[in-house]
Amino acid sequence: MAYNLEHLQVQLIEDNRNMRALVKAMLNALGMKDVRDYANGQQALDAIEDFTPDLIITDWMMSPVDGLEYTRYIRGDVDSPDIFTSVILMTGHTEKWRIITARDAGVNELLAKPISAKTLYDRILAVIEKPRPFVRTKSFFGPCRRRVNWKEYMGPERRFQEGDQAGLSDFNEGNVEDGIDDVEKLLESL
Amino acid sequence: MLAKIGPGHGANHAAVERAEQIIERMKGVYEARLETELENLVAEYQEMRDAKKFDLDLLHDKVHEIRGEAGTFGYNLVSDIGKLLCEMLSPIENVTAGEDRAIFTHIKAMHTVVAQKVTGAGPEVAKQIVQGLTTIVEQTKK
Repeated sequence: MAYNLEHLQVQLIEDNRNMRALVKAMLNALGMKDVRDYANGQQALDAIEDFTPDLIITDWMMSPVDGLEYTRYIRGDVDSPDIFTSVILMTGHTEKWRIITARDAGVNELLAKPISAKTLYDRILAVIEKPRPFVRTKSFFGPCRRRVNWKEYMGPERRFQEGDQAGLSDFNEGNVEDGIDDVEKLLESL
Repeated sequence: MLAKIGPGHGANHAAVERAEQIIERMKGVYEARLETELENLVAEYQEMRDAKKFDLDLLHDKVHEIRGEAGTFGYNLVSDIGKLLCEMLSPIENVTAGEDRAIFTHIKAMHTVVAQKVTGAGPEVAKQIVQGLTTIVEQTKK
């Protein structure tokens, strides 16, 4: 039996208007009927007194309050309505240091852009079925940052150091101009 | 949260399918917008070149937005090329002639992919283009 997501209160925060509309429509299609959307963390912050979310799905880069700042508010501010609220962070940045930064802010799950219906739903399922226990240290409060069964993880390694790309070691040593000429010729035949 | 959703387990394939249909329904509008956005990007970059005044932060932000959306609608190559371009733009302070050409080639490549409606991984030549651009990005770092 599938979960009934109908009564979940969801805050969706994304500054790209088109992306926001798309994700909201997808969440509705996934069964979430009470989705409030905001263009940045400040708007979500202003609204939280009247609408306490069970789940927050937020983009990272926004102003004046970005997704991580908002997550830190949820996890640590005295006015936070629920410090245990689940947070899924959408981001196009998958460099390892950024992932660590997000985890350190108290994010539960990361959703790499471009997103699909399946990846969005998978992250929501992860929050429901595989919740990380919350831990408190001197400098951190949030979901446990250790990946359980890391050594048993058999999936693809998708976390890159900046500059790491599949096939980088195969680069030839030609110059940039030659490379551009080659690509321009290839574009003509695409 | 768990109290609100009640008992259950596993994926709801019907719901995922409904969400996929939403993407499919929005695809036509998105494609038209994406092509316009890339046409504008080509024009804006050309203006920067003409003025010899490059706003790389603005360019980076626009490309970052485009690549974040494109893959959702099947334009994985646009996402891949956009990611390479963002990676190349980040460390650049003053644009050299080589970097200028490399940036423009990336933008043109994204535009061509959309104009030709190449979705998914595309044909073999598309892989060669991405490999070529990857090489260019790596070389501009040296």
